[in-house]
Amino acid sequence: MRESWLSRNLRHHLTAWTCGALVIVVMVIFLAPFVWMIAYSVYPSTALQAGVPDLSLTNITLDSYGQLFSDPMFLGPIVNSVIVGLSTTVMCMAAGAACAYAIARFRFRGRQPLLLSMMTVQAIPVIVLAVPLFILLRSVGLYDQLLGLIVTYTAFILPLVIWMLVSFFEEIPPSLERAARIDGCNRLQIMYKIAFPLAAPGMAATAILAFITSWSDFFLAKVLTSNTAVTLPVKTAAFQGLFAMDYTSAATAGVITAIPVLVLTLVAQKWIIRGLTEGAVKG
Amino acid sequence: MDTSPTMSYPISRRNLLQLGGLAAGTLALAACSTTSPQSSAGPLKTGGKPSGQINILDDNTNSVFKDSTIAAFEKQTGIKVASYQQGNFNDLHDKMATMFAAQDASFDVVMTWAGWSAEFGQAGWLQELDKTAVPSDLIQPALDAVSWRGKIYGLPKFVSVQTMFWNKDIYKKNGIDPHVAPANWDEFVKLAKKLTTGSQFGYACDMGNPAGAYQNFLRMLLICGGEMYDADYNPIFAGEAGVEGLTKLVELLQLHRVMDPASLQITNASDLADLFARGTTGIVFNWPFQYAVATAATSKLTKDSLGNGLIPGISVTSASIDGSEGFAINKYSKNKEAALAWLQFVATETVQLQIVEKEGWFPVSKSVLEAPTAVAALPVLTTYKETTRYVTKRYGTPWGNEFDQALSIQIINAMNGKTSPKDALASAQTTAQGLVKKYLKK
Repeated sequence: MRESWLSRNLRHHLTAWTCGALVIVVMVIFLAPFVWMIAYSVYPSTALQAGVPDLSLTNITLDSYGQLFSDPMFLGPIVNSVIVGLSTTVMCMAAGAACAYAIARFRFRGRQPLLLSMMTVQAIPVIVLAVPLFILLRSVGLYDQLLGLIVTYTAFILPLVIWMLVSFFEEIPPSLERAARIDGCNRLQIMYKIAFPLAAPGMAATAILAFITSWSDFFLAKVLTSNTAVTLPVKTAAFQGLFAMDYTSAATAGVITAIPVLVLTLVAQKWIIRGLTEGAVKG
Repeated sequence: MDTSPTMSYPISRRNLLQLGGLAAGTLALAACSTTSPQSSAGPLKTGGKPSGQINILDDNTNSVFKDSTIAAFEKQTGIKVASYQQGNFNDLHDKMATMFAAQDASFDVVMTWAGWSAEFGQAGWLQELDKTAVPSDLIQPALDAVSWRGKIYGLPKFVSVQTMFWNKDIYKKNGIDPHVAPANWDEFVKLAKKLTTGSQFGYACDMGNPAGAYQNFLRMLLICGGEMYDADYNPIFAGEAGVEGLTKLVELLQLHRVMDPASLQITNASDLADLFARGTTGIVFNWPFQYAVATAATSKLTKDSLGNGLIPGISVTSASIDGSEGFAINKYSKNKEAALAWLQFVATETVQLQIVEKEGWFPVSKSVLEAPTAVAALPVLTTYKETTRYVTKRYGTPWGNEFDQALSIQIINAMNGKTSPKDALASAQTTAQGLVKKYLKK
């Protein structure tokens, strides 16, 4: 009896240790590039490119951060990214919440195909749409304009926002809304006073996902901007030239770009996973 | 009675179709509103007195144009440079491809190099130039960077050719005469062996990315007297010369052990230049800017301790690879004559002298190559002058990117001893044959 308990206990610990070790291995694989990027941003490149990298703490410097934050050519893209990210998020949430609520609550012909067809937009490779988008934006005077990027991102991200929000709205018991209706609320009041507050965690997660998607985009920003509307990822890539590469500046810009994404993902990871998985199952 | 808040709001099929039709029509209208492809009026010639304005899209290699060239050009020609934009080299390709595919005329002049001249030239997106538009003072091999299949699509803005750099201090320390360059490959290997001691390596290169692997192989192929393609662009690099070249390269790492193993991880010529400037590498083959890096204040070398000469050959005396850049004219430009005036202005002696003196690139103009002030500012010009007597090629092709990827895998496998040079090149050549067939529709 005791032996059996011991063996069970040992097996339990072995499993836990194995899982723990696997988690550490996976974490190292995923985190190593990021840690190396941080190292490149705070150590002089000569210290890291030596035969044996010199990682002594006395070598650490934040000079590159100071240089980038005092460079107007770098601050411009940061401001552009913030404007584009926030505006896209607001537009996606405003339009997406209303659409998602309608799809979740109203029964109309083609509801399900509509939801599915929205997701097919996500399956189209962006590169296929680059030239038509370029022509479209140029013809309406939105090429190299922040508004052009905001509209484009909204078009791409809105289906995902709707898809996620539908699942959150469907979770709200209809009885609550019926009660509100009996108390005299009209449809808009039900949305703003009942549905949206109850789906707030999901809406926050969706908003964060929308922000991260627009904040991190590189390809469309590269193709649809030229000079005035350049965003942070495009500026970050510009530190690489044909013959030379400014590793320190590129790594510093990479860290600056990654920090908001990292923080927002950590804050909302539970809701993001829930939103994506529930949406995927329920359709 | 159903008190559910779920309600039914049918959208009629007609409304849905109307909406869809409207959206499709808008898109189609937008697509049709662009200019239709212009019929080619033949190669562009110099003529008349161009005027108006131009827009230029360049990479970020040069700063001399925005610093002084544009103002001088405007003053001399009366043509206004409405905008001069610089972008990261790696981003420009997609940006330019999108613009060209959309038949956009936002930029009259675009930066180019051998690969893009071939790719965009073949696609019909660059304006072909007549031979009479090429300045007579131009160093003819420099046209390689702006030409494809006998057609000239631009003019070079500077020349970049690899030469050999060595550390005279290390030479002296190992009892070697620092003033004599190796006359051939065997002498080079002997030198590299003597220079390799402890953590110090006789030789290093940059093979860490596909373009680097291609360049290092191409250099070996050329010094073995080989060629990448025949006159019809059939790949022939896996022949005797190619196998010999790759074998010699592998031997540097595996047999003679004179190559810094980090060479397989170095992805950029600037990293190689920095490595050499740290004073622990005997010899490198690198682009002209190695001179500025090696003689900078932070370098372990000085002007006196830097040696420079021809790359030693195996079956030929010497050969080198080309990395020159140029300017081309957008096929959809509305002011091609003014754009050509810019291309020709950049190739003038005045501008080329500035490029040599301020930026350390080789000139495209013969007279600058001879100018004492240029040689004084960039002593490695003397070696470049010698290099022009030997083969210098890049083989820019429309399939270059795809090919570099495939070739680099084979080269690295050979370097690591996973496959023989012969098998590696045979496999890469098969891939190249497929690419040539695809791109040239053979």
